[in-house]
Amino acid sequence: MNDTPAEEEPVLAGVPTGTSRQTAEPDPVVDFARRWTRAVIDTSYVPMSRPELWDFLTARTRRLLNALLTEHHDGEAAAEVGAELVREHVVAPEALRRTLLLLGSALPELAARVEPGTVVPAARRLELLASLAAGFDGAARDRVLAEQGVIQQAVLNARDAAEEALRSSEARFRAVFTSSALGIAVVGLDGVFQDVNDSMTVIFGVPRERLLGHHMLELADPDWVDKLRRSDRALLAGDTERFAVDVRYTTSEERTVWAQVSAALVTDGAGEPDYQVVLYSDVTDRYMLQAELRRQATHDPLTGLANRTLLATRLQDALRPVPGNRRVGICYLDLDGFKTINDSLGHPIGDDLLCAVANRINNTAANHGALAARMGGDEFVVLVADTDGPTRMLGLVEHLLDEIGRSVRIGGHELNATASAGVVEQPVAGSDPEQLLREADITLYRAKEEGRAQWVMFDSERNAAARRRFRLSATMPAALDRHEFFVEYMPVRRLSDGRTVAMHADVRWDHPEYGELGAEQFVGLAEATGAITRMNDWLLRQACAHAAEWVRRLGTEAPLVTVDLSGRYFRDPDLVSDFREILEETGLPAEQLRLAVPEQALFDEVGDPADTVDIVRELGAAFVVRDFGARYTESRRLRELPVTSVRVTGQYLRRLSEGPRPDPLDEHLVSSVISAAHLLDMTVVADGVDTAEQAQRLRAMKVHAVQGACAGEPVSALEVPELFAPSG
Amino acid sequence: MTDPNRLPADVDLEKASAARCYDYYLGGSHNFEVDRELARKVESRVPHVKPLAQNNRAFLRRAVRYCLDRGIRQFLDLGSGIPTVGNVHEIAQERAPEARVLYVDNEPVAVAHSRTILEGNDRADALQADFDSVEEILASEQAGRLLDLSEPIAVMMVALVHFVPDSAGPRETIRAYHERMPSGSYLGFSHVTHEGYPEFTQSIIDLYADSSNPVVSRTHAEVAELLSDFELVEPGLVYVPEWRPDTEEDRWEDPARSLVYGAVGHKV
Repeated sequence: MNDTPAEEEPVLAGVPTGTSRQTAEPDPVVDFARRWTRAVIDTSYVPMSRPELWDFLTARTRRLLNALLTEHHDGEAAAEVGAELVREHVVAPEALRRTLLLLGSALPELAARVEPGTVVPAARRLELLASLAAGFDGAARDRVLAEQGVIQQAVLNARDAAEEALRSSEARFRAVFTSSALGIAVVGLDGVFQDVNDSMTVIFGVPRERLLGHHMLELADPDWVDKLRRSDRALLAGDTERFAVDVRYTTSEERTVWAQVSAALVTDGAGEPDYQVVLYSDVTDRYMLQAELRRQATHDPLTGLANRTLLATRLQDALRPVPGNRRVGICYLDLDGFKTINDSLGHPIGDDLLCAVANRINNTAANHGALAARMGGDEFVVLVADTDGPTRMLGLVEHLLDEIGRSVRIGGHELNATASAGVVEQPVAGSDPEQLLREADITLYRAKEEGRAQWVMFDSERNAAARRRFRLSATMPAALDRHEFFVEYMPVRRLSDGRTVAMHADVRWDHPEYGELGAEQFVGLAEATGAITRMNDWLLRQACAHAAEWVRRLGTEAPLVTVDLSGRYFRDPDLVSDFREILEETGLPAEQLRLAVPEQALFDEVGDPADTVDIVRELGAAFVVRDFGARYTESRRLRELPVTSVRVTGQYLRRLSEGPRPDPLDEHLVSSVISAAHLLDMTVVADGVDTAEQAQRLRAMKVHAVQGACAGEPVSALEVPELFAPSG
Repeated sequence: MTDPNRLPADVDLEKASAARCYDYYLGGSHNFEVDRELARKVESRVPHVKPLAQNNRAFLRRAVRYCLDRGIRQFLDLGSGIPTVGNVHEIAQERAPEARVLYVDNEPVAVAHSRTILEGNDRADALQADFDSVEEILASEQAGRLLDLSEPIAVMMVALVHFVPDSAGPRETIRAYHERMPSGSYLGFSHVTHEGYPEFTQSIIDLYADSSNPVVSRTHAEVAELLSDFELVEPGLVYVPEWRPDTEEDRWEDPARSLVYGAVGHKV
């Protein structure tokens, strides 16, 4: 290959030190070594660079020259050189041939140049070559044997290592197979179990014999067989390298097992599919836990019914737009008087009752293919995702109310629960879930108002009124802050002399949206929501302040002021301190004040006079009993109280003035109320008296005073003193 | 000694092994008749296969010495084969006795052989692993003992990657090594090509097709692409006789006849 050797500077050792001569005339020994190098360098790989080989062979050339020039050499040196060549991996027979040719032809000549006049005998030259060849061959033979020994040993070692690895891997596999908690099965290409470990028998509760020889698809419930079969086919077809699918299996004892099945195909030496290793991981607990968590997320923990979340989901599904005229029904249920049961019998009983009721609701709903959900507290919703009109929906509602109404025995108590229901049944089209629930809720509210243990069907007009009431009650507290309420005074006229003796404080609401509203439009709501307390407090302060002003302006001519207080406010323990404080602040003499309250507000639960009554009496104020006559039989107890008058009102009063003659029954009712009042030594004030005719008749019946249109139009507080101006 | 994640490889003496054929071309006797039979067939079609192999081996020597001259003292020799003569540890430890060498081959006999001749040398060892198991190799006990990846290293892939088909992703594997090599490291690389003498290369491909190590030839551009993460030191990617020959006499008149490209890459 190195056919065009580029001669260059000889390098290195062995070169005679005469430097000037070196460039002019190359050392013949070095020159010889280079030829020798060129002859052998590509016969085998020599792990030296060419210059290193030059050096190596230069030194060997000198040793051979020495031997050649020595008269009695024994061939030892030449044999040594031969062996050294082999040691440096000049090992090829071709290298020996070329070496012998070169040495045989050129060495004597070189000797003559190095030692002029030397004549080497032919025998000595042959002896040298033969010795070198023998040394080379011996070393080469040793080397070959040694290398063959090494490679054989390497093969043995590699085999040992491979066998050891195989053994330990088999042992490992066996250990894994027997001790693994995973079910492991060796399955033939036909899907039949060839071997299974003990865990398989534990997981599936089946003895080995029942598995061996059986098909792997037998360990899956019918609904899961297809999935498993598809996965396994893809594996066997080489479409996938492995698969993992979750499969359900029901044991002969009806136990549910969830297994994650994963499989890999094992190929033989030729790369052909041989068998499959299938792993079964028991994930039953995980599944059960997931199912339980899913259930917990969507179910009410107390009753086990669906919760709001699940209801919302189902409602969403039910309202998904579909072609056709599908309808949806919602029944909003609320137990009547549940709070009373909870308060009187305790929460554990209350909870048990809720569970019992929930259970009945659930069963009834389920029988109708409906979903029952607990909204919280004692509120339930039943959703019928597909109704065929109000009739069947109401059938379900009645069934529900009947079921709830059946008495239930809890902890020794025989309880009779009832529920009210708001029902909405309408086409799916145009319904939205929130609105549907709200409408049902509002309708339920109406059902409660109109009497309990009944259902009310949603009606959009009545709903509008109900919604307005909600709006009013919701905005009332803020309206108080914004001073949207004001007080008007109705004159109370004494019939005997036509004088105005008192002013009745009437609260009104200047509503920004609905205009001016009378008390009848919001006081009831305020009672229901509790806003009445603040409102009465405000009203009392206003009225007292106004009346105090009248006293300052009119002195003894000043009229009394009557203020209607709700029973709820009257029983409020804070009233006492508020009451004192208000009188002090406004400076109103207490005797100028008449508190108009419902009769039963004057008594506590056991029928004794309420504590507040004494305080009021002490301070010197007096009471007017509102709507007197509702319960005559108990009226006697009023006798001991500081009640100065009673107020009567109602349709029968109004009818007194209608027609040429009053209806005898109305006349009798009024007259008996008035008589009762007189017997109690109280004056009677009639409310809602609009005409002089009415007033005349009432006067004849000994009614003391009237209020209403015939007594004068309502006026503001500022206008009151004008009514009493001493104009005459 | 056995890697639990690896199923034992077969010790198959029925098929010729590229490593043992290589040993034969270099003049070694670490081979069996099955290897020599293939090697002789190759020699009949590619008469200069021995000088060709020797040249490749000489390239390894020059590349290792180049790295030693630049201060490298640790070597990872991938696809080391049957280390008949002129092994990396001999080249390195002759000049720098402290140099450390880890040989890697996937052929169990080659690894067992390496272990035999390395007995008593505590600065060199052999590991059985696949070329593309980069993390496995670098995380091995042997690598932990011999290599320090915070210092520059020389990774040798001499006459190796032409046994790696494109489907095995050699480009990605080389990149993975590159990523793990500290800056200042070197890569020694040689690879068979068919560009100069397609008939010779085709003969080798054909004859090796049934051996344990089929051959893939690549063009200069393809080999350059494999090495593109590295900066190639002078003279770049050339036929091996042209890569920094020891003397002018070592240059070949027709370097393309060597059939092998060689290069040393530098990770800057």
